[in-house]
This record gives sequence, C-alpha cells and structure tokens, in this order.
Amino acid sequence: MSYCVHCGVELAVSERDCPLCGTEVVNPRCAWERPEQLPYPETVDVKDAHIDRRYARQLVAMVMAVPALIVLLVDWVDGGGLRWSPYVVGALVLIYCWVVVPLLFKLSRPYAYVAVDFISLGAYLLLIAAMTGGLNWFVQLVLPLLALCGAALSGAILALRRLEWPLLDRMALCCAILGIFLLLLEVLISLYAGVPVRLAWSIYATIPLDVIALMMLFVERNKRMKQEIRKRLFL
Amino acid sequence: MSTRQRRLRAPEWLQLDNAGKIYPATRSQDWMAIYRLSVTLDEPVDRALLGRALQSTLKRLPTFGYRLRRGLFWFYLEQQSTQPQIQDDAANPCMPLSRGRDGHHMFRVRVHDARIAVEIFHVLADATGTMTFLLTLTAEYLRLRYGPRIPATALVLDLRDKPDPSEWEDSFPKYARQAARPRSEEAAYPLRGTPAERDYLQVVTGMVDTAALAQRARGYGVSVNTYLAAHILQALVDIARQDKSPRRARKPVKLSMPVNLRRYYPSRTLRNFSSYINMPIYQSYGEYTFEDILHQVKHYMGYETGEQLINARFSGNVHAEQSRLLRLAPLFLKSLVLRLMYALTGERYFTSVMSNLGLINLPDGMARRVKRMDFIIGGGRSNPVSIGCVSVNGHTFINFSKTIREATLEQRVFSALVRDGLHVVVESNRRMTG
Ligand SMILES: [Zn+2]
Repeated sequence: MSYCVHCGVELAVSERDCPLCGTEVVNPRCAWERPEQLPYPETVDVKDAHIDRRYARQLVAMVMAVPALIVLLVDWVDGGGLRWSPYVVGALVLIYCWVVVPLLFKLSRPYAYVAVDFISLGAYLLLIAAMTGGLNWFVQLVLPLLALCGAALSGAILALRRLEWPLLDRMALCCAILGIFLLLLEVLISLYAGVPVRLAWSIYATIPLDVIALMMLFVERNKRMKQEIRKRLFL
Repeated sequence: MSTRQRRLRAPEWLQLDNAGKIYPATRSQDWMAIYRLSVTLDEPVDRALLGRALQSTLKRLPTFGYRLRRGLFWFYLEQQSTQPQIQDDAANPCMPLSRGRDGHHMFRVRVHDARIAVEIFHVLADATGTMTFLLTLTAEYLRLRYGPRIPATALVLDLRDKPDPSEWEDSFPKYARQAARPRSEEAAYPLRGTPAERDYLQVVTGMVDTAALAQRARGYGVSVNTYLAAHILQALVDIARQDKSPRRARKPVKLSMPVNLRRYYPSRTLRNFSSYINMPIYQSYGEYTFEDILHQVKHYMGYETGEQLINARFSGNVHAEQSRLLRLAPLFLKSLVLRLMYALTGERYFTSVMSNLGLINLPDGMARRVKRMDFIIGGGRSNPVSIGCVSVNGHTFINFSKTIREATLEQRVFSALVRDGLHVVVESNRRMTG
C-alpha cells in the first residue's frame, strides 16, 4: 500500500507513480511491482480513417447545382431551348470531377482518378461534338487520343508506384512509356489527317528517350558507376 | 423465439428521440458522443457465455440492437438481425464506433478479465437505459454461469417478459408542455490544457467509501451529489482564478449535471429521457469559500430541479423539433445546421460535466458477485474533462475522463476529499511500460 506524499491519496497497485501529480512513489518497504492484471489492457483502439468528407461533398454538389440550375433556367426561358447552357453545366460537372473528386473522395487506387478525369473530359468533348455536329472529329481523333493519354498516364503511375523497384528503373520505364506514347501519337495524327503512316518527328523524340532509359538501366546495374556519379553530384 | 415473433414485438424502425436527434448530426469519424458503463465481477468473464447472454438480452431489449440510418428528413433507427461480437477491452475507452470492428451496431460489449463494459453511442439511450441493459445482461450472464436466476428489479429486467412499447417510447413530447424557457445562456469558462496523446482518452478513477462520503456530505447538510459538485466547482474556481487570460477568467465556471427525467414522470422508457442543469459559480465577482459554493449549489440546484423549470427546459427542445420549417428541411441541411449549432453553442455553456448515477441497488445474488462499477463519459468535443460517478456495494467510483495531459482538476478534487478526511484510492489507464 503506497500513498502519494503530495496528494495524500492511496495509489492502486497498478500505479507506479501518482496519476494526479506524477510524484514517484518510493516505498522502501515495498518497491513497485507490475501487477499481473492491470486495470486496462495494453492494446489501443484505433479510429477509422476519415469519411467526414461526405458532408463536404454534399455541400459542394449543392453549391454547384445552384448556378447550374439557374443557367439552364435562364437559357430555357430566354430562348425556348438549350443553346449554350449545356456548355456551362458540362464545365461545372467537369470541374467537379477534376477538382472535387480528387480532394474529397477517397478512391482506393489512383487509376480510378485517371479514369474519372478522362471519362468526364471525354463526355464533355462528346457533348460539344454533339452540339456542334462534329461527331466524326470526336470519334476519329478525340476518342483515340484520350484513350492513348489515359493509358500512358496509367502506365506511368504504375511504374512510379512500384516503390520496391529501384528509382532509376522506374524512371527508365516512364521514359520508355513516353517514347511509345509519342510514336502512337504520330500514327494517330497521320491517320486522322488521311496521310500514309510514316513516322518522322516521333522517331527523333523516341530514340533519345530510349537511350536515356537504357542508360538509366545500365547505371542502376553498374555499382561502381553509380558510386562515382553519387560522389560527384552529391549536394 | 423466432426472428419473426421478435419482429412483431419490436418495431421495424424508430424515430430518434428528441434528445437523440443531435448526436448523429454532430458525430464524425473523429468524435462521437459515447459513454461507458461497466461491471466488475469477482471472477474472470467467460466470453462464450456472455455472448449467449447478450443474445437473450437483445431479445428482451431489442432497440439496443438497432442500427442508425439516414432518411430523407431525419436519421432513424432500424432493426437489424446481427448481434455484435464480444470484444476485447482496450487501453483507451470510448473511441468512436468503427465500421470495421463494430459493424452497424451502436454499442459494443467488451471484456477485460472480470469486467464487462458496454460502450454506447448516446443516440440509443441515456445512462439509465444503458444501466438497465448492462445489469440485465450481467444478470443473465450470472444465471448462465452459476445457475440461479437473479430476481428482477427496476434495473434488472426479467428476460421471460415480452418487450413493451413503453420501453422505447420517446417520452419528451409526451410530457412536454406549451411553455418553454429561452435556451441561451452565458458562455462558461473553458478549461484548456495540453492535448494528450491523440485518440487516447485518459481515465483517472478515485475510489471512496460510500458511507464515509455520505457522512461527510451529511456533516455539511447536503447530498453526496451536491458535495461532490461543490468540490469540483471549487477546483474549477481555483483553476479559473489562476488563468492568465483575463477575458477567459471573467467567465463563470459551470458544471453541467444531467437530470434523470424518470424521477419526475412515470416513464418506463429505456431511451434518452434526461435533461441537464448547468450550475454556475461567478468566481470573478469575489472570493468563494467551500461553504459558499456548497450553499449555492444546494439552493441553485434545488431551485432548478423544480418540475416546472425542468419541464420548460426540455419543452423548448421538443418545440424546436416540431417546427414545420425544421421538419421539412432535408437531412443534410438539418445536419449542417445542427452541427454548426453544436459547434457554436453545444459545449460552450459548461466547463465540465459531472454525471452521478447515484447508488445502484443490486438484487440479491448479484450484489455478491459485483465488486465494482464504472461510469466513464467519452471525451467532449471541445471540453476536455468529464466526470462520471456511480456507487455500488459500499464504494463510490469517481471517473475523470479527459483529453488533456494536465491532471489539475482531479488532483485538486481528490486532494480536497483527502483533506476532508476521506480515504481515496486512485487508479488510471496509463500504460505502465517498463
Ligand atoms: Zn500525487
């Protein structure tokens, strides 16, 4: 049985020092010994991750819905049809997808954000194409272009997220992806322009990229060279 | 009893009671109005038996098993068929409910050695309702473990009875009257301190002999409740007087004390049916002796606990809930407003809260097995220290639960009790490593 000399309270067997004032209890007759059973176990409850964003999402959606409705209404009353308001509403939806989704939604994988961004952009461009009668242009150029950009970006994310790989390897893969992207881009543009596919500028861009990628792979695998570079370039 | 029969006895869904409506709106992943009641037995608890006891108890008290759902205009409680698992206790009680660990349940039952604890979201019930739930559960556990059935009392229900609609009625509108008191109050002195370790509610328990405590209180001519409240207020006054910010120190310290409305009305509800009184001491107006504070608490509380004043206080909330405008607002808007209101006013009207459940009389057969009970109030959203008291089997357990490192308040209170000639044993939930 020990008492706190400062507070005058008796300390339960579980307490090594006074929980009220921190004074260590020195009882020469009976040193503190950790009892077999403490009043509370050692394991600590951890809180769930935040999903408080729900309120913020609803609020933003509501705040953005107000101007959208006003624009639609004004356009309708003014001209008896939807002439320009869809552009505005589409732009608002696009802003929501591009800004609010990354900030306030917690998607499990980054690819989901890429998908949301590209699908929303595609949908907006489709809306514009449909309203201006340019569906051809959309199908032949925009759609493949978006798919290509989305794929390249996903590839780059995939490469950068492999944290277990050496950094230089990941960079090399990114360079290679960029090179392939440029090649395919030129093919696409040639197809759309209706000229026979002959790679020109993309080759000049891709070759140096591939060389850089190979150099990175080589340096990564060459211990002494890595050491040397590190020695010269350290900050 | 089959699920179908049970469904017939208990409603498919329930509106939240008048007091419960605020809690879902103010709830977040970080904070939730949770409190905890526990019973410590004389032998380690058998989890499998406790699980079986929980199953029978939920059949008798079905609304405790309900889940919270959002409707278009209000949150509501809905029946669900699952039953929570018995969980291991943790070092830090009263953390918010977690989807992963607790599923959709609004309470958890945890075991540590010989202790059975119920941690519950305030939306389901107040401490009286939860006390009934915990004691009924414990009685059933004791029956499964040792044989004899524990005789039913007010707080221990007979599991062979059928659940009764009066047990889940919302008693607030039933007893509310037309006249209401204005709800605005003066802001209270805010207790501040160094934030403790994140997500770790610190608990410091003081254990006092109930008879000695009652004798001290009688010596001053007051109740135990008044006596304890006066000691806490005295400590708060001393803390406020030493505050370096004159702006803060000017505000009166206020101790919020819940009032069980079942004392006034013949309600049998096991959901929320309590109000509160914020007891102020205007320490900036002059010096107060302990006797001054005792005197003021006794008379102020005596005045404020008059039925008419109590009624007018909760009637205001009932009117607010019934206002057409509020009812028609969609839920998310309502939640935003309630959240904002709670953030602006909710905890500003009191410095700390002390909830004293008083002496719990246990039936024969149960009293023998119960060594201890605890009432721990989860951390406030902004007020850092709460106090829960309960007396059982000749011992009073005073639990300080807090989110700050400083132990000034409990140190002053317990030292004052010692100076008053009481023997106080102190225990905490700090981790004793090494
Ligand atoms: Zn001490």
